[in-house]
Amino acid sequence: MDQLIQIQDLTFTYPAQQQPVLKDINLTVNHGDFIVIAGDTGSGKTTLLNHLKKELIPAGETTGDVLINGKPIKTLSQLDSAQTVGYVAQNPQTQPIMSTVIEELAFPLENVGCPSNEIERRIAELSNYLGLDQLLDRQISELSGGQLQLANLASVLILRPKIILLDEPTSQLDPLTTQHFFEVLRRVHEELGITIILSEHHLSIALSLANRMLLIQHQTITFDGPPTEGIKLMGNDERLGYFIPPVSQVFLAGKRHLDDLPISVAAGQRAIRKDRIHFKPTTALTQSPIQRPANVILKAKNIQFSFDRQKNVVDHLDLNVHQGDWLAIIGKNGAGKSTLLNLLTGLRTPQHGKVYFNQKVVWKIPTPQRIKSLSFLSQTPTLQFRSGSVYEQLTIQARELALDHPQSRINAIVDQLKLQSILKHNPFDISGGQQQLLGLAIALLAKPTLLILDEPTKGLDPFTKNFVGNILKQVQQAGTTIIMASHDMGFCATFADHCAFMFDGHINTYLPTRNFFTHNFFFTTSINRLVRNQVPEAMLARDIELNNASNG
Amino acid sequence: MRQIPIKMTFFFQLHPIIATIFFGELIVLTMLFNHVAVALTGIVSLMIINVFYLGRHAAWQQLKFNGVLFFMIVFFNVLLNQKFSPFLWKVSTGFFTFKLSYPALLYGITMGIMLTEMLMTFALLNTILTANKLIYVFAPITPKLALLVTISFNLVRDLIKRFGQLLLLQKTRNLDTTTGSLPTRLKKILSLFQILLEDSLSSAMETANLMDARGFGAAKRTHYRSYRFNPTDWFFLMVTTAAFALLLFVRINAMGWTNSVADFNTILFTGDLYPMVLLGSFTLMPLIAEGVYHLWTN
Repeated sequence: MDQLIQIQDLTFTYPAQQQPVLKDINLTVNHGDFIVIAGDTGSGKTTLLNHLKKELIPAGETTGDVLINGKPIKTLSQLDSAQTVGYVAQNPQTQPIMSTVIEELAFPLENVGCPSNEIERRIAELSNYLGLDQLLDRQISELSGGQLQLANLASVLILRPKIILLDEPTSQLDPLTTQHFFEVLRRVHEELGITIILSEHHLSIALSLANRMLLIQHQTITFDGPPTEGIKLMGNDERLGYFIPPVSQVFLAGKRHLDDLPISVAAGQRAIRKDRIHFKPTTALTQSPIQRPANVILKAKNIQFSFDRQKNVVDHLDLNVHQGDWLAIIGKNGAGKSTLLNLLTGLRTPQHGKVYFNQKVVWKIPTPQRIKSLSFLSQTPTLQFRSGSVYEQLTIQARELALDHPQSRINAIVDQLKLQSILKHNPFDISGGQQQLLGLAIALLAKPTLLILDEPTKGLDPFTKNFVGNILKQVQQAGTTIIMASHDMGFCATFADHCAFMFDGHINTYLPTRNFFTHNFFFTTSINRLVRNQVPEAMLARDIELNNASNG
Repeated sequence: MRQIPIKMTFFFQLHPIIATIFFGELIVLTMLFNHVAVALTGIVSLMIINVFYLGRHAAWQQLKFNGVLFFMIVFFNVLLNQKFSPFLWKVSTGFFTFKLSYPALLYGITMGIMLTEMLMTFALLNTILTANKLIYVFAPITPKLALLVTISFNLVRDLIKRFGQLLLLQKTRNLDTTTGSLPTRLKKILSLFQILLEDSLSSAMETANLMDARGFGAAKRTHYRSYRFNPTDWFFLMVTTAAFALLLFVRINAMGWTNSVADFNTILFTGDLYPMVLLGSFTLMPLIAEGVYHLWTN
């Protein structure tokens, strides 16, 4: 029998909710499948994944059955469950329990009663296989986001499960680390034959590895089949159209290679060579960018900052940001981007150097005055929330800002960010994407002249990301300067005016967005990688079109 | 002096059960003597071993944090307790008279030191008894207790980290704990605790579920690191337990302890020397053992 998991008529409703989040789900997963679950934020992807792991089934009303190897999941012993199904969570920080990597790898084996010599053998084998052998004695707290997520995967893999479930495992990783993580997943799937089911918003890499794609819409599975077919189907939906990987978008728009739709850059380049496809720049690309006046609104001068006085996280950094600009700061996890934003916001004071906002030293501006013109959204918006409902978050901030017409401003922001349905909710109970939107609403309430954002698209699905990008563009056009740190190359390429790379504690490669991406080789968009030989200045699907004159 | 890597120290390599017993005894001893001289002996000894095992920087940071609590305890003691003579200083402003009572000052200092000792002991415990050692010690008794202990340690670590971030980020909501009068600042800090608990508890619950998902409590636990009792472990246990028994004996004989605040009129009482020598020796025992261990190197 090839069937590993069977879900029969699964319906699930969270407590105190009227509508089910999952309805009439029927699914069969076979041994060796690599399944990607796609869908909007809040569509039930995580809830579905959690129903496949006995210990993580959420509280609520469930009907229907989930069978693993023909046995109802609820009858699996904890031991069987641990050794059959592994789970990697979205936030890499929540899983580790021990202090070092080696202890973290030993932890699940100790739990299932593995003898000491067997534990040692498995750790030695797996750590060498995944390239973690040099990290074994490192403290968990010292690992970068990517290393930590790899350690989390290893800690699950060491039990040799038949299935691994992953819930948006790369949502907090930079693009290169994401690629490395997926490369490890590919090896785990191909070389070990382990069944993988993962939920993901960034489909480019994930779908190129998958043999099946599930689409969740309207509380149920609306598509189950090959990824290329699923992508074509998404093209018919206004929201899901944003989920289509950029490489596939290019071929769909040109109606080329539809039978074997390329998803990855490599597949796209193979298709281009095979069919001798030629692209040309679109008119959007040939238009020159709008020049803006060049008053410096924020100036960082030779700033240095260290947490432990041993190593500078920000080192001799200079930065001038012009009024009306949108600057994206790009860099690997742990490059110091968030620390830099804290310094620019005046939340931290550098040990050396100065940061001037409108010619005043930023940390010397009294807080009540500063928040009226400078807003900040951190990458953990919950830490900026106060107690009370979503609506109260806004009223409290309006009061602190001493707004002239607080109610009309709150109403405008609620309408703009479409927060009506969650106004009475506790902000700690809403989804990560909704928390991000609420954080943005709080930040925008002041109509700031400078808006600083740390990973503003974290946890957002592609449609909501585009929605947020458009709102921020309107805010920028109304006169606000935006500085953001982001791992999302597509978002930066679509919306930012300038991009800069942060490395070794300082900013380099501060260039207009198009120059930045077209001069980079690794930190660039998939479209630039796809067609850099034909249209070197292209970075988005909208920048290129088929050159019909030369295509056969 | 270059710090020895913690994993290379005798104390870190001590059998987890022996280390747990030592810390249990040390925690009891921090509450057993309330004379200033004895408490001072305890804190100086703890400071020495914390500098050795945690490093100068970490020990200093911790001392700064503990110093705030120490001064708060002393302040409230002298403020709320003004009836015992002798008085060191008096001041009257209209209806209010403040008398600085010498016994209240000494009692406040002792209480402050005892709390600081406790915090320093926990900081050292956190370094020596890592999560896997705690699970090794507590899991055979009850896996749920081990889970609770491990999560509690993680929760405290997480709480401290998040609280720092919260203090920073709440400035964007005009909640700045670095400005205003002391009562205003305290009020602001208290208002942050609700947010902190809500945020950290949900994260701790997720961690607990993921522990379960990786088979925690599914079977009788084995241990990757097989801790074997060495003769040095038994020797350390014998010496420290003997010192602990002697300290209990001197405490039963009312040395190092005074019941009434009114009697706190000197720093050094008769008979304090015994608990001072014993407590100092007990607390510094890991360091003494460290020296012997390194002398024994081939």
